[in-house]
Amino acid sequence: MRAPFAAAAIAFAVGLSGPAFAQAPASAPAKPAASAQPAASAKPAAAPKARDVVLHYANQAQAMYTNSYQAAVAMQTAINAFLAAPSAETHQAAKAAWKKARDPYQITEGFRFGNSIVDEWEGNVNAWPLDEGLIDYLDKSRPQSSDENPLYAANVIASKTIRIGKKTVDVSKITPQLLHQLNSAAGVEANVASGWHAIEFLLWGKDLHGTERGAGERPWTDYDLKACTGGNCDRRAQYLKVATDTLVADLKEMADDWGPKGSARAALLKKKDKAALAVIFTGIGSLSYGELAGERMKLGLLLHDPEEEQDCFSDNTHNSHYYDEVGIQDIYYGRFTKIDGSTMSGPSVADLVRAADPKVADEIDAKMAAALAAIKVIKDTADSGEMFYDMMLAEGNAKGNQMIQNGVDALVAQAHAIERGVAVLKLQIKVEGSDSLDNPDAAKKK
Amino acid sequence: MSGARAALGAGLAAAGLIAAGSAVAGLDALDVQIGKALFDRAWVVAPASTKADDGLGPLFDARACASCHPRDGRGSIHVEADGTLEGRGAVLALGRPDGSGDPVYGRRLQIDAVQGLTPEGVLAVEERVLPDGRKARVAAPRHLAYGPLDPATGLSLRAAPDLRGRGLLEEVPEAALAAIAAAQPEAVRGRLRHVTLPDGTKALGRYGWKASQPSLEAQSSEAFFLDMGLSTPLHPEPWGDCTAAQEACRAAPHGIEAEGQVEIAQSLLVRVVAYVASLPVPQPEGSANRKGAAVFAAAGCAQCHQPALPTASGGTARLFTDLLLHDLGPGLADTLSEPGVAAGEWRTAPLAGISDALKRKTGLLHDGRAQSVAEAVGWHGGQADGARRAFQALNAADRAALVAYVSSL
Repeated sequence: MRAPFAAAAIAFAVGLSGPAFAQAPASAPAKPAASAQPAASAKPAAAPKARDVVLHYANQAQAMYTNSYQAAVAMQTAINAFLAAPSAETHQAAKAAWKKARDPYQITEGFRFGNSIVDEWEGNVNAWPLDEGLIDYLDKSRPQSSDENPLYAANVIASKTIRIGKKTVDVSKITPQLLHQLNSAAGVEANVASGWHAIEFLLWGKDLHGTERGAGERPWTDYDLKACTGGNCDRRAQYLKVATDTLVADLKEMADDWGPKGSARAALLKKKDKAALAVIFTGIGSLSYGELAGERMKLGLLLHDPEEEQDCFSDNTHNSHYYDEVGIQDIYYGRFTKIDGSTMSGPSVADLVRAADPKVADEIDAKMAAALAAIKVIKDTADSGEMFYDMMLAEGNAKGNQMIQNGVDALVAQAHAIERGVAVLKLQIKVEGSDSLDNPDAAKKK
Repeated sequence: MSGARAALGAGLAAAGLIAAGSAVAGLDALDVQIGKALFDRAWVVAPASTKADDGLGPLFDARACASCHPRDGRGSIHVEADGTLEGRGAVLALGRPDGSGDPVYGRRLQIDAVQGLTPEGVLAVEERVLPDGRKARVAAPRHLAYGPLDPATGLSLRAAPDLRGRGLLEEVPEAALAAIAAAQPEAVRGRLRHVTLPDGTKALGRYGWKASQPSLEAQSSEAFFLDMGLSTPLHPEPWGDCTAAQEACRAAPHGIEAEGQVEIAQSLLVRVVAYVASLPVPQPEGSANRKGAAVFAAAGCAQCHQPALPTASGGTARLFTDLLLHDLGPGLADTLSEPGVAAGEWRTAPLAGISDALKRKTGLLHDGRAQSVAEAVGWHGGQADGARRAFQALNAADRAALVAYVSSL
């Protein structure tokens, strides 16, 4: 009944190989580097050494996390300026800085799956959904005062202690250690109290517009120590500052983990060539398939949940999805553009696939171009102000739903094309959490 | 790749994909992957912006399925020096002989609560020394926050089981199980448990330590409801296991915004169920141990821990259970009885996946009291007393072969 795992994985890839695409459309993406976009060619190119591809991947991870860290430092500067002199203008600048720093982080997400050091770290940085009620008030139209319903006001910003299981945690001092403790001390049992979305929530507040137009509308006076709205402005400011400092430090840590003596680099380089290449494909395949197409896009469509999206407070989800895809391609093609506009590129898994089977390489090029184009429709529609991602998700919004479905379909096709690349290189990968993608037999009942 | 290999691959892929879609009612591999994400997801307290993800609690034992079933495996029961339990490997079930829960605490003693509400207590165990010197584990919760338990309330500490391959238990025809029961010698004969469904009809109980749930969907619904405080179509009350006596809990914010909604919509539930159903049966480790298998059968273990059950689709479920209730004697009995099931009766626990449990030192048996296969066998009494005595009478070589065999599953 059950085929051995590896055989099933290869069989799946081979079995789905359709006729190769003659030519990649290769519509150059707007922002990512096109410098290393391989020319579609029918002739096998000379393959780089696998070890050089793995080394370049580690170098690129270091550079991309450093890039993300630098962007976050700029955000930190803007947030510090906001907290030093709260006003509508400094608040707006802080929010703009968050959005600007978000894209360089999103392009690193393809490193997460496959590299366990990154995956374990990720919970502190980008965990979702956010337990926002743990952090701060949610909606002033809800009862707030403790004599009405104490549970609506039980949050870290308004409390001195909170209880998790049999432990009572002292939250009177908001520190990076406390936020990490709330997040991950007890693994999945814990709350999510730090990272991108915590900062996003502290800047924007809850989006109370449902699937209507509008993001969170937290007033800047929530941080005004002289005329405080929302209560506990000093604690809120402290939380925002610590959450921001923590994120910056976490990003620095991951950049260092990929540095010359870093643990993530060492863990990867310790692997044999094929196993290390498998890590690269696992990362981009898992992000494309289960994470982005599945959990982040199809699930939201299924539920028509206005906030079943990534960057829900800021209405920035169209960008977070788009730059996930940009990052998938940056890793596959071994290139990327830094925030200062400079680029880096080097030997890539794309080169290996092209040398091994140009037709499969062409097909991956085509599916990647199609995936980027499908998500760019979402991005452009949101950027134009016509419709944001939460509005696209709404039940009955046929046009918006279709845009998201097209994105899902293109990402699934891209994941399957990536698996054909895996088969061409005779690798074995395990797409995160999905026995069913690379082991279809596992998805049926025996 | 050879042509033959490629052709085989195409066939496998086609068969796999089609089956993946049809077996779980129109769901495809991406839905299974979404189910995996939901299984791992830490649900959040209402009212969060992510409406589909909120509604946790107000009382709960865990935020995520994966908290208690790490990597889909069995939960680990770790007892601290002071007797309290660390981690989320087990829940404390509460019940009175008439089938109702505790009037204040309900059907679970939840160890966690939303902020602002006090958890019901802390899980802990004590040891009960038996006449033969063995120490049975007894649930002894501490820091009960809502007053004493009702004197009639029984307690049962129950480990979160391994989920891998368990979807197949639904596929075993009832007639096949009845035939197994009929073939068992009278002294060990188990019995089918029929449970009453919410609509009044009866169905065969297949899931849970006492075979109290007929399907993965029902079992998963109950876990969402009692252990995470999330309502489902089968358990629509948004307050989970809060009783009428727990007023603040009943009044706490919940994840329902309109009449008729539930916190875990059917579309979410079926994907989680599809994910669990997709998990393959754990494969035995190492090479085939024929001698161990033979001794396992000869000692009588395989009478109840049936190595393979037939499935309706013509396959086999290699899970090592007969899905029947057996009386395992006073040593394993706890204080929780319910109508139709005695405290000493247990569904034959599937052994598939035990190698992983041993490796992770989760503890064995329903409350994790046994640390080795031999110790676990030693606790078998009642209808399993003969098999236990046969095991303990084995010569060293046979005994080692049997233990090695079971430990590899």
